[in-house]
Amino acid sequence: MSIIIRSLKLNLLLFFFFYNLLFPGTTGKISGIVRNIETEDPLIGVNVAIVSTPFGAVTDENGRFTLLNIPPGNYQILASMMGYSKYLINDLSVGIDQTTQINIPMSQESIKMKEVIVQASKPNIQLDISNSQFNVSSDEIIALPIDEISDILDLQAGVNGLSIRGGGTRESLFRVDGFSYNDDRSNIPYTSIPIGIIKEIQVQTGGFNAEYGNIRSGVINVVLAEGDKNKVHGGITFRHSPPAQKHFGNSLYSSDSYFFRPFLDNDVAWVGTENGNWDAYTRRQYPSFEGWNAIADATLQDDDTSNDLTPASAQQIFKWQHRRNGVIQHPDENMDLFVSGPVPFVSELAGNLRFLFSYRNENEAFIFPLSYKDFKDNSWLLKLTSDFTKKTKINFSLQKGQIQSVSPYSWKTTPTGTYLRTSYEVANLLNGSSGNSMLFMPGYYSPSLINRSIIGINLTHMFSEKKYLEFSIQYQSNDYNTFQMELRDTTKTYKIIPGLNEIKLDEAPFGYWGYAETGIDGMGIGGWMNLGRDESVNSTTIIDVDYINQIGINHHIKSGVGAILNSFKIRSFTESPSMSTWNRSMIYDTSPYRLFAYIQDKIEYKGFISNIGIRSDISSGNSDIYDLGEYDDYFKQGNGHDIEENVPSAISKPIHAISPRLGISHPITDKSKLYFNYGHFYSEPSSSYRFRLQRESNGLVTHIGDPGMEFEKTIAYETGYSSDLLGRLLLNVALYYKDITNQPGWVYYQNMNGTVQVNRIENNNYEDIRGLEITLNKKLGNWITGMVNYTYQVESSGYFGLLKQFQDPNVQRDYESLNQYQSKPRPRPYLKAVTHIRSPNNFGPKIFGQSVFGNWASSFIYKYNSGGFETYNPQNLPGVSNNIQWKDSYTTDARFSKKIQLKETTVEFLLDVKNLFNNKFISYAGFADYYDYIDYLESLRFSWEEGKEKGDDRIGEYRAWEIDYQPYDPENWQNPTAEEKEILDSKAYIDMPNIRSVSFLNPRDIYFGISVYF
Amino acid sequence: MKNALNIIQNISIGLLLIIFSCEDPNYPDDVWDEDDKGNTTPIVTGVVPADGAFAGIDTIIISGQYFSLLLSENVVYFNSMLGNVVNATSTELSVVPPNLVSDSVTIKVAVQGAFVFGELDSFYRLTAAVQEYGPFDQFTDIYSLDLDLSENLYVSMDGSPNAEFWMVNSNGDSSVWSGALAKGAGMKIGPTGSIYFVNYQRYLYKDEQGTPKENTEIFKRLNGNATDLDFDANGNLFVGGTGSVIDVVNIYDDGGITSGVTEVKDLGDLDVINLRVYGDHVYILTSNTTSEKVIYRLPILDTAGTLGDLEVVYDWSVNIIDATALCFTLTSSGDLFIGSDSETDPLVLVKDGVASGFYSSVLVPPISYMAWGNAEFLYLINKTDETNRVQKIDTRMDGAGYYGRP
Repeated sequence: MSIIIRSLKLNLLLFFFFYNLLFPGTTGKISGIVRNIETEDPLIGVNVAIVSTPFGAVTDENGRFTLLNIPPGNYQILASMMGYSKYLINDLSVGIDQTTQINIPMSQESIKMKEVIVQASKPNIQLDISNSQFNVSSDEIIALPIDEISDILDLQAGVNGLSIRGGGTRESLFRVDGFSYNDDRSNIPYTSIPIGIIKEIQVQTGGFNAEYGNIRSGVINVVLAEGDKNKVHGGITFRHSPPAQKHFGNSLYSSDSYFFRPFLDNDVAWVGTENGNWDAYTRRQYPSFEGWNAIADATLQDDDTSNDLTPASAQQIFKWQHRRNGVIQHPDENMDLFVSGPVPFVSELAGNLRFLFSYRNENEAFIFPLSYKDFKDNSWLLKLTSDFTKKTKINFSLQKGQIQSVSPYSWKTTPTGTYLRTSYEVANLLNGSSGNSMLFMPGYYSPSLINRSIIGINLTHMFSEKKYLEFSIQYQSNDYNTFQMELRDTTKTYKIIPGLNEIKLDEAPFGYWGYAETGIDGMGIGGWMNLGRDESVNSTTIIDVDYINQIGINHHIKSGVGAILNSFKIRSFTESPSMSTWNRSMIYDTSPYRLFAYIQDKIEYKGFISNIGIRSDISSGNSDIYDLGEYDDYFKQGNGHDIEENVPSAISKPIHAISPRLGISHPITDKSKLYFNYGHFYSEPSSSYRFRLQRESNGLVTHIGDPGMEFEKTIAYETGYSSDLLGRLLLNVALYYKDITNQPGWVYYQNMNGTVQVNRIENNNYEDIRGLEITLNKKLGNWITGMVNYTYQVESSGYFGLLKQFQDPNVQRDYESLNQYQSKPRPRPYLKAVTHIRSPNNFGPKIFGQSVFGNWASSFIYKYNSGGFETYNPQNLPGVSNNIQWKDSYTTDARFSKKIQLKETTVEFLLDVKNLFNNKFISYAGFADYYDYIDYLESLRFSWEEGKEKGDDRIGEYRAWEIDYQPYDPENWQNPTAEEKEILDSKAYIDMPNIRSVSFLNPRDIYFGISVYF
Repeated sequence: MKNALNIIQNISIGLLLIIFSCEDPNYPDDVWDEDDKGNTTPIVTGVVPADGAFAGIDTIIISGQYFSLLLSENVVYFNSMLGNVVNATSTELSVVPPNLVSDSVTIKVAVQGAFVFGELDSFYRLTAAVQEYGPFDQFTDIYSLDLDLSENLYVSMDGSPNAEFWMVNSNGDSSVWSGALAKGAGMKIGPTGSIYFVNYQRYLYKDEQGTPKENTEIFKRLNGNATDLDFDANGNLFVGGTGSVIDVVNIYDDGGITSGVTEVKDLGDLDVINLRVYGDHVYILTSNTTSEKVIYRLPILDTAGTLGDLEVVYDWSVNIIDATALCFTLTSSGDLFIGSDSETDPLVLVKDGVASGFYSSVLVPPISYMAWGNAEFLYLINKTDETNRVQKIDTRMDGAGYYGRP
């Protein structure tokens, strides 16, 4: 710590940050000791305060002090006492759930030295943390080429998107300012938070304290900034990526695409693809087409001459019915803006009432347009904070958001609230048979809007410096609307063929049409479309009371009770006016609840810090459980709709779980520690497992849930080592093991004659996950900071019992002989690296007051994933499993920026580049069907093959499009000719995926952006 | 401040330039073009021959405008059926019509890229060169046939349990003519109205109208097994077959079963498959020990039917290697019609030694037996997997004279 003598000048450290009072998991602690610098004696009665905040304490008889409930951020700490020079510490960092230790040496006042100012140095290692967690500050977030929270999380070891250490997205808790953002319908979190107002993110990937419940994989705590009580601040960030293809290769809508070429290429369009103009390989790459001459022929076969078509006019109809040009015309854009400050007129009267308003808009064009062309996510958030009294603080938060997307329902599944977004998700829908309907009929998948609102109030009351109570109440509502699009207007017709006035077509394939209809080429343009409907509303009320008591300097005790009250009004169904068998429904109204209580103690001694706690959870489905046999007649057609009325039922019994939690951190030196944690973690199965009663229109029950299901359970162990290397690098090594049981899985029951075909839910699934994470972090440095981490994770999963139960013992025997009960995917290690390079503010010469070379920054994110394994066993050899591997994938994203300071306004220009080096990797979406994929695999030369087929290919090898296909069939494979070698070298032997356009996704994508803060 | 704003402005302009320069010029055009008027509609002004043509056989000339010079870009419909365009200029299309028989055929021409058909403003007439004749179907097993002077058709059928001769009169009415002791591998109507037939054995049978099979007369015993027969101008009945001899039978001889039969030719290793008399020659389709098929002729040297030496008329096995000749007949000018199992040309006309497919587009193999009517009509037996049938084809040429008809 260096000492700098300066005049007292208190600067605000962040441009809009002030202070706040927040909830569990959103604040940290400062503790320390004040001594006389000359005598080393502790000083009693020293005032230690955080500048410009109400936080303060007086040292006790041992010179110790503790400041509780401090929001994360950087602070100025001022120690003062009569007769002593004031002692000011700048840039003292406080993290979420962390204890920042400081020692304050005070000297007696002299004329020369009125005040001592020191610059805090951030410790590289946080000794009081007994689990794997990392905190990301606002500065770090803003510097990254990312636009949403999940991108930040994805940078960490053990995290893939929102999946933490192999757990599902729904196994993690996502909290913003202490309010839960998980949607209890599925427990999947809503993460639409403007980046610009995030102050700090804390991610725990294991060893959670007892205060966290209904989670098994991770805790993500987001702390937002809040309004300044004195001054208005604001900011806007706008990022724009010009419209561009989201895949390599030709457009899906170009005349040479998979879906167009057979119909437009003059070599085959008129006389058909089988006429010999195309070679066998080319024919295999495209759909078969009989030719427009044949189509025209067919129109002449009836007695009605008014519908007779020439081949050209038949093709013209095709063009009309494929007129949707889905090339991306909208830019990808997102905008974050916020404004904060004192609430005008009433601020002072209402306890320094201050506000923070933010708005976030995200627009991403789908890789090809669906019922909507773009994914949109709009949300706004209002946060009000008041120091109601000196000891009581109130925080109010309201967020509303809407997601516009498309529901990807599939056969036999009613919508469950999931929606499409990524290029891979959308492209992967395409297939050779119905892909054209998806591309050209806007309503193939149902449009979907999800409206969410989260409102919460938090009240904190300080009983003393070391005791306070928190009370919070939160109400969250999720309103799903997956709906039928506007009906096709069949009354308005179009004469699309000059000279053939008799030929009139309606607007098809646009608009909704529930009846089977095909286009002139056989493309489905009605019937199987827009089936999904969802009018579900679910709401959650959370009440939470916590009491925090710092006992002495060693015990930080926290206890709490709470209730989570859910209301599910699920109205999910599929609807077809023409096919009753396409009508099915999942409808239920229920009000399950959870109750919890916990107590935990953070015990801090030098050389030993432990977090110990215990939690109790009670969960009730609060719904009827029907008394139904395994093959009950009520599951049959005609009977299913009578279940609620006729079947005896009883309310489900609550379930109960006790979760012990233990974490120990043992500092080995002041720069290294060992830690260990152990805990039991429980979570409720998602609602569709518990309450689903899905029936076909004829009453056949296809799925029935169980409101009395057991908790899903994870017992997790973790041990780790952290060390500060050379004072600049932080090394963290973590080993973990998760024993997961009681996960839900559907079990199929079929009676003797097949009239009962029902899926019943059971707690039958288990997983074992173990892994190693190594992280090397360089958080400190003027020019370069960064991080690299490596994750090696092994999983195995399976189920207890059987997944299918047949009443017919012969069928059951066959099933059991063919089906394995455990899968052991081979591990796929991955590595991530982040590098920030920045020049100091005043680096280099100045022109017009601006430093030419100062404030330039660049960030790079590099991700590497080893390829996944698959089983390819064309000869059905026993014991063959996971024998082929995809190629490893890697990508680099970058941000380049330049910041200009104009008095109190900061302007930053951004250039974000995703996939900086334009790396290409084959996507499964390019395969038109399974056989196309098999053709591709057969063309590869794997290491286990023999003779001329032996090679070193992995899935993902590809042939450049400009190289013609040539089968590799050497006369003497042990001594191939130069020409044959060239085939190998150029990969000309590879039979590429048929849907060329989506064989490679996500080419380089450039965003231009600008941020302005004041 | 002003300078700083200038910097921002300049950077912003630079960014905008980059943004617009990143527009992808290769975005595909819309497939749908609402301004697409298509190519010029073809105009059809006339057809030659104007009075009609044989369906599936003749080549007609369609005259008009805006046809494509590329054959494949012209599509000609006859009602709902496609014609085969064999030549094209911008004003003329040579087209073989489909096998469509109608007095009111609409001819439409579509040219690639044109949205509207060009259409002949009157109906066109397509007639059948080949007609199915008689009540025969997959359940009637037919073997040979012949016609009398009244154009009544006689057909030998191998019915179960009885063989029969059926007659189909010129109105198309059919009836059982007589029962028969056996099916006829070859048959001929004789001068007295009797049917003479052979069935691979050393016998010549004779049947009369209205008789049961028991009354079939085993007329003569031959010198060899016989498959076919024909009369000459002198009333001699020549009979040949797998016995490798040709016998001549005096049908008026009543001296008994062995009387009136004279072997007039020993053919060595040649078997006779089919036998026809044309002018003063006996023509035979033969097969040797290696199954080579050759048509020979032998001069009739006197009124007793003495035959001269073999003379090759057409060596089928040399000229046509993909098919087996099954039967033949001759036109009035001496040209050969040869029926075979050829998939492409089941009937060929051999003129001056050169074979060409005849009505190949409308005939299907195999053609196993043929006989001329009294005018231009040739009657065929066509036995396929699907059916057995007799086809009457208008050859536009006369058949060779037949001397046996009453």
